[in-house]
Amino acid sequence: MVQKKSTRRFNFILFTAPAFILYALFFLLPFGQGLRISFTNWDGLTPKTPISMDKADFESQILAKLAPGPDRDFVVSLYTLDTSERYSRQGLSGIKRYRLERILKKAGYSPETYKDVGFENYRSIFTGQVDARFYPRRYEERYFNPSSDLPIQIEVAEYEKHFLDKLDQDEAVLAAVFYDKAGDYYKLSPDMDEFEAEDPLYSLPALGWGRLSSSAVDDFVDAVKKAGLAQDEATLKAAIATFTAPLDEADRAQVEMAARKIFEIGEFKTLLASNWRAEKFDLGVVGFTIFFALGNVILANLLAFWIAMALDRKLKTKNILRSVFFLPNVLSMIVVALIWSFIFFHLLPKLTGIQTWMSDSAKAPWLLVMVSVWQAAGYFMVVYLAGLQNIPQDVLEAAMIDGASPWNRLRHITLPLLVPAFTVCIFLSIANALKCFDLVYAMVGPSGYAVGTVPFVMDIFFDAFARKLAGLATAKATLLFIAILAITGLQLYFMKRKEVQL
Amino acid sequence: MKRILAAVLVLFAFAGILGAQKLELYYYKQENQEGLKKLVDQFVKENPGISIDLLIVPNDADATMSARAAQGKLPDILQMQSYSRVAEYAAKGYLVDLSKQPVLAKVVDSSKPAVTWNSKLWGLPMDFAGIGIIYNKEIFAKYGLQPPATYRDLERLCRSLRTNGVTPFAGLLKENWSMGHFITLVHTNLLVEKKISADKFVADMNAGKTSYGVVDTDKLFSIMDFYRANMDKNAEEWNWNEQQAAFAEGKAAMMVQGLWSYGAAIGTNPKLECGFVPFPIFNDSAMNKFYADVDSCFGVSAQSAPDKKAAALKFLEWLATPQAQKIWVEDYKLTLSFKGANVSKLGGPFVDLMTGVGKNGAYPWAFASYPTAVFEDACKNGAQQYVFNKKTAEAVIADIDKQWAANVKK
Amino acid sequence: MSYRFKPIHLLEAFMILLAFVFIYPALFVLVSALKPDADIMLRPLALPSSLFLDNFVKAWKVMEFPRVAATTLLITTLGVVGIVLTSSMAAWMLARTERRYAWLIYSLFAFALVIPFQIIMVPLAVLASDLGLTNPLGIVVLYWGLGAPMAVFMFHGFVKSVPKELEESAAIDGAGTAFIFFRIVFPLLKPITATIAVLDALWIWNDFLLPLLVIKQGTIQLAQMQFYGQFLKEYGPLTASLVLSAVPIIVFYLVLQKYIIKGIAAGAVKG
Repeated sequence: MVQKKSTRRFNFILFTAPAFILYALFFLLPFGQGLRISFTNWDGLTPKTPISMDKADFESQILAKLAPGPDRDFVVSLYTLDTSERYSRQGLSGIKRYRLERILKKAGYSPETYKDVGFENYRSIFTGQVDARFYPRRYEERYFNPSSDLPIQIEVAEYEKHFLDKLDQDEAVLAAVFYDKAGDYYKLSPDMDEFEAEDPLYSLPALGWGRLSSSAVDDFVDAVKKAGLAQDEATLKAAIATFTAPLDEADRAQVEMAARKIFEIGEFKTLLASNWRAEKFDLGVVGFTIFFALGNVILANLLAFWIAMALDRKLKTKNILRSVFFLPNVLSMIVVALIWSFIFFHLLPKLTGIQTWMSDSAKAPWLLVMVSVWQAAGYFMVVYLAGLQNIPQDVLEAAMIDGASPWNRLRHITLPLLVPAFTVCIFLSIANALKCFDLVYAMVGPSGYAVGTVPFVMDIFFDAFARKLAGLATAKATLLFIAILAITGLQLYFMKRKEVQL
Repeated sequence: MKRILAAVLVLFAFAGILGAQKLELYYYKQENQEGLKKLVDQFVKENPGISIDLLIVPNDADATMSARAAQGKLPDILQMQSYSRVAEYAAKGYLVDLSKQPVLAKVVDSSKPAVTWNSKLWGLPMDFAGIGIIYNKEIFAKYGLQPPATYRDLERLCRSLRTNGVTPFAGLLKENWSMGHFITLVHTNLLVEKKISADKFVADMNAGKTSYGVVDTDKLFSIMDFYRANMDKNAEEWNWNEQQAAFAEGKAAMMVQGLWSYGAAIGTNPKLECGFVPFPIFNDSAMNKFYADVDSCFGVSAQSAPDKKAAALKFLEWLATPQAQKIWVEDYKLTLSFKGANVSKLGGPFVDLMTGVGKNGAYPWAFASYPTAVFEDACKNGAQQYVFNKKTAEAVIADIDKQWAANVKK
Repeated sequence: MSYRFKPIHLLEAFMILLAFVFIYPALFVLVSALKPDADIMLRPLALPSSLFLDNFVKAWKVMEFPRVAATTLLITTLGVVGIVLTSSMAAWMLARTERRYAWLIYSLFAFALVIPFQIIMVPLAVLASDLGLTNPLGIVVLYWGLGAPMAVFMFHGFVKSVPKELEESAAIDGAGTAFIFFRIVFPLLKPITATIAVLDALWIWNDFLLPLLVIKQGTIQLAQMQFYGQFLKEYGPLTASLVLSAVPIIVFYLVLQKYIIKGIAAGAVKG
């Protein structure tokens, strides 16, 4: 090199500084400030220094604690007293704000919801004190609430698997009185309809004459239902006796019959409620994120690699196809979410006859992986295609002449030479899948908790802005960041060692 | 190329200098934006010294506002949801105290609690909205059905609709807010049965003296189950547009919604004839009232410069003028909280709401006074998870209690 | 004419079918944009019954499309130019300096690829406002910083694949560093430059969150929000605006796409 050392150093700084300074300023600095928040209990809204305050509070909490001097003058100059006896200040930027924060902190002003809490946020994550939806867990799905009406129909598979199969003979006999199999459903026998059973009570002549109030009937029905659920004969009798006391003979019989029926239905309701349940497993935020990342890394890369292999052949349409496969990258997230939601709701049920898709927690995670793979595959395809085109044709031809099978050529020539492409694609797919937010957010939003499809970053987002736990949110974010760094670091380390130099 | 760039730069510099008294008005009610634009245009026409930039953040407004607040640059005029949002912003000092503004004197007293925090007024209550059953009059007439006055009526009504092959309710279980509104609607009603006022309940919850389960929870969840059972089999898949489509098309006879969605239904099918009744919880029809309250209000940011504050207050003051009220009702298509406001031009369901409330009164939107995190997460997500069988009834109540306690403690 | 069936035709047919799955959603948006709102909701899968352009007219007017498109174009252009310029300079220097500190700086850039944007969102918005960058030109500067990691990562990989003999002989002839870079190296970087230009243009053009937090309004993506509320979604104008906003960026992609494979290939694979 002909340059002097000092010139070289100067040039190095000149060339790298613009990008590095901008990057450090807009990426590393905010990142550091984010970390700082993870050690506080900030709710995401409380300002560090008051914006407006009642006169008395301001004087006692702030002015009284500041000794006369430039600092106090500075504070006084910022706040003005308005007609409603409040001190307020305008929005401040930069240095002034930092100075005010420093002065007030020194004066001991510290808002309740912006305090240092040390490692508290981290501790609560590791000790399982964060919302249960965060962690993978077992839970019980209950399909029937004994205080509700019996369902008019229940799907056959559902009814048999989660209910009938658990019953002993006597219970099965009871169940047969209530539900009959008809087509795809078990249908509630019309005789056992609770609403119909109650009807005679609401059409008592006494009601019309005003001798009985509708709320008295309500209370009676409630009491009978409760007795029915508990199968408590004595309470039933007592309730009937009290209720029927002012009624005439014919009405009494009507009441007695209706009450007996409701009582009988109650027995089955208890049976249904206590048995029609199932143990389920919920991935939780952590589990779903891992599932989503694994699915993406594997499927997106496989699909992309396969498309690249196909397009590497002499297809007539390969240029157009290449553009088409890349197209999903061009569309914005709203478009992607909008379209797929329409497809899942309108098209898939028509094509398959299956009605539930995104609301089914067994399918939703897969569908999200699918959309995400659809979007990412085109990009990785390009990388693989490029890698394939870099493989010298003569090596492959020589192998062909030697009689190597297509599989062996793939196994021993193509794949090893493509390791660099795999390294990059896997790195990007891990990082992007673990960071995933936009797509899932646009497709399921907060409903993700109901179907178990909340990725880590979305959970962080809800913590920060819906649950007002900005401190906890940044602590989670920091942990996520460390996890991604560790995983991609390991991946790069191992895959770089496998790369073959040509 | 360089010359073009320079020209563009100069242009931008100019754009910065122009615009004398520029206010920023943030709103989230996207469904009424055309009316708001008209309102602002009229104001600017009458007040040439002031211009207003409209900023809409229909989704994730909380995130955006947090960032804006942290920047020290909240919009000069903020549209806010009543009660807890107002309280939240007021408590953190972001709002100007409006108690002494003359315009507040023109507001009906019943609307004032919605913008009160610490016995001062922090916003100008604007529209009064109700959540209830919007029903299709044509379908009801076809099968000779009457709008329900009691819970038992509603049950019977749903049965006849089902027998006739009509889905009773168009639901939208895919959106968590829908069940969030519903659970709180039923809960607030059931408080009445226990003779607890909504205010007292919220105060007791804040003091840690009661539980969300203080009401008859059996009834609470059985009404939720009833509501779910009378939706389409597939309602968990239904989004906002599926609900609107099904209702507008007449596939479903009713929807439990706020009147904000009436406009959309009419837009999809202009021939639709709708009525609006309270969702009846009780069999005593006198106890069934609309779930209605002040929905939104306007506040002024304490961070704005004094002259901007003055301009913003001028806008609020102007909103009470007859010409502004006229645009509000005819174009913004919402009711008003001003004394003597004339809302007769709003159309059927609105008249139903106003006459119903005028005759029987209304139950307040208690959810708006819950801590925001409780409503946003524990109520909305909890109720939705219950419907999806992901959470038991007991767990829903327990989580609401837990999150409430955590938010009050802070 | 004789036609002989070959397996490759089967493959081609299959790939075309697969391509249809990839393009179907985009067609769906296009078709929806040509239908009235009620048709989109009630008959989402049907083809438009007539040529219905009201959605485009409404989207154009309500969004003030020419104005927001101009702003978006300006932000995107300046953003891309800045990222390409600063990152290529830095990446070249880092790749050609075989020192530990150069590797360290490069790693620091790569480090950002694993940071989720949502973490830095709020502090970044505050910083932008402190520095007075809350206008269309200011956000451009933010993009330069935010776009740097990926661009440096890719340029770095590409530079490594470019032989350095040319630069060395120019240096021996006494050419200055700036001359070497701009006259000799930069032209050689064309494929990766095109690639980064396309990827960053896609990102900036379609970006929603950062503009929302920093400049609040005036870009295409922000203006579209007027049709996409919590309680009311106007699918007609929304899909029309999606088509309007996607067309320029798709054209840009198609024009540059022949470079992309070369670019991604070298930039990513050798990284």
